[in-house]
Amino acid sequence: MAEIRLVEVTKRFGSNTAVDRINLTAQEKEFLVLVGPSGCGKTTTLRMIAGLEETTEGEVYIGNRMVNNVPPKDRDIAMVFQNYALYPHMSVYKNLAFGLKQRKFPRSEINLRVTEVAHMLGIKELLKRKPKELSGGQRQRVAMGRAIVRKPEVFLFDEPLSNLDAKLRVQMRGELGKLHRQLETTIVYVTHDQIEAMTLADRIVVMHNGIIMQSGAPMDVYNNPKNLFVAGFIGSPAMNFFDVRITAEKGTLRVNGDNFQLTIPAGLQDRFLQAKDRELVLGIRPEHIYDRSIKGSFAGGEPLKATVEVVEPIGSQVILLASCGSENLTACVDPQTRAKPNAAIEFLVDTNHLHLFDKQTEKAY
Amino acid sequence: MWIKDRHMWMVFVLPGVLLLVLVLGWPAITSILYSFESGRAGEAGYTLANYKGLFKDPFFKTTFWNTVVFVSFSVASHMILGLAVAMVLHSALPAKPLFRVIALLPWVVPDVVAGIIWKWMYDPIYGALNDLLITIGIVDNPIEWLSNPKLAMTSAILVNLWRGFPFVMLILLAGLQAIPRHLYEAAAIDGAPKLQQFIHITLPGLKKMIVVALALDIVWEVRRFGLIQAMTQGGPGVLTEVLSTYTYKQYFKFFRFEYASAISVVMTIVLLLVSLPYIWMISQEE
Ligand SMILES: Nc1ncnc2c1ncn2[C@@H]1O[C@H](COP(=O)(O)OP(=O)(O)O)[C@@H](O)[C@H]1O
Ligand SMILES: [Mg+2]
Repeated sequence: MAEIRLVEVTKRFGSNTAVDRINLTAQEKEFLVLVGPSGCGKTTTLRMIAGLEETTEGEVYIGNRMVNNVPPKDRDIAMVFQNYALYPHMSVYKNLAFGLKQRKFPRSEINLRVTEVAHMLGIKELLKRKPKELSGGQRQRVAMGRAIVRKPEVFLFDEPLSNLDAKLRVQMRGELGKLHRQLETTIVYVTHDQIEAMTLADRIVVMHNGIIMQSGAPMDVYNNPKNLFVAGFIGSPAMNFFDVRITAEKGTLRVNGDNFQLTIPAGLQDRFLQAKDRELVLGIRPEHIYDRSIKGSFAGGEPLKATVEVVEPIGSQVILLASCGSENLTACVDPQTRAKPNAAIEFLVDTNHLHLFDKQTEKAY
Repeated sequence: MWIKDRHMWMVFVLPGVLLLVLVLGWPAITSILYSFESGRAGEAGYTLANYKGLFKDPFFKTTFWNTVVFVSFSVASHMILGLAVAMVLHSALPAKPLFRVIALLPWVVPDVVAGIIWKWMYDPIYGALNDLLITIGIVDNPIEWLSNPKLAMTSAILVNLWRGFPFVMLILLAGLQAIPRHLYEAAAIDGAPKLQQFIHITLPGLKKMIVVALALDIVWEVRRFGLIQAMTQGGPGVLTEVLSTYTYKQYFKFFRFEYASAISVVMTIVLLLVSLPYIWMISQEE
């Protein structure tokens, strides 16, 4: 019923193209997350779905209906704004009731729904307060309540957690997931935070400069980034990149960097063979680099020599910032590591998880 | 050092305070004292005669009600036109800065100059306004805007509307610009049509600014002098006489300094009574 479909949608502000011919479908009841760096066109896309912004070109469908000329109130959507946009002069109760009142719901029905939602979000005690008397987390709940109370087919969230402190953000993230399972509605959720995207989404859509770079299930995108941008954007700490070339000797493929050489495992050979003779970028995730001196943590892989520069223990892991010749690399290693700044270290690289990109087209092999 | 450091501020503030006392306090106190003197030669001591006289003076009564009419219609029309123009200027309008400047122009014109300009505009024989109305064919004969007893006050208020709305407009425009756009968008999604958005978002959002504009405008319009003095001098008869012009007449024409002082003291008290609730209201909001 409430599938959302964007077909060749473009939005230009003057000469600035904010969204560039994107095609996008959010399945019914799907939690779709638009993720990308600031200014990549996420909000604009969301606002076009909401009807707050006209499309320059292309069509927006909600359900089976083309909604380009349908005003926001008739799109059966609710939106949670980044800064909440609570009505400052109304109590929490009136904030929640406003949409229902405008739609001429009977008073008893309004009361029932507001109470129900207030109960669901744990804001029953706040109903008489004004927004300015609420904490950030409480405002955020009220903003969600205002959306939920109307029982729309589609929820649109624009960075709803970005104004909260770190702990609250993690907590609300969990509640959002729960809420989605409870409500069973389509959600389009915008964030620049890739962890938020990974944890919440059924499917993520990575945007950059108004273009969709890749979409898919979070782990799919993580494991098989289709281009250099997605590879660098998804994952924290970010993927390491090295300029390399590929050489074939007696049937074995090798990647040759300035200061290292890795043998490509059999499983990847067919795919990487196409990349021979091209200028390439090799991608290795920090978690696929191991400290060789820790016994029994990882067997196999290929050695890589480097010099440790910074040691950052974060508890469950130790993040090592190291240099390999003129290039920098980050590794997430076991906390047992005895790595010291300015000391040489030998890593083991899990070569089954190598990523290879064309330097010119930035596409993955 | 004979002045402690933490008392040093007094030294710096002193010249300013002295100047204020001299410029504001001294005349105020003198006129209050004046208002209790009889003014007849040889009669020493203080008396309430001037105030008693005020309440028996039919002209004072007329003048007082004229002032009430002049001020309430002026302020009300300033609010309505000011808000309307502010909303137009706040909306997506091409060449916005130009229109803003144009809308502000009447406010730049000094009071007396505005009075003189409109005295001529209204003139039955030479006036541009009558010319225009006759040319368009709205009226056949020139209208006596300022000398017709039925029209005089209305004409004066109209000029004051023209002269005074830009200030209110400016304050409300600032208020409009401070209302987050997202509120309107949230309301649009909630299904509120434009009128409901105006009632539930614009008006409450402007509340503080409206109170400020009201308080200031009321005070200013009660004191408005140059405009009426230049245009009608209170005439015809006393039909456009307001407290300020009446005080002026008593003082400079009839040389009844003590009586004029009493009028201005009453005026000040009325102003305080009118504006105190607003000052209180503003101080209540945090
Ligand atoms: N109302 C607007 N007028 C002009 N340019 C805009 C407007 N809204 C957004 N843009 C531009 O469009 C681009 C995308 O913005 P936005 O969708 O807000 O990005 P994001 O939400 O991903 O940070 C940016 O370059 C931004 O400057
Ligand atoms: Mg944004």
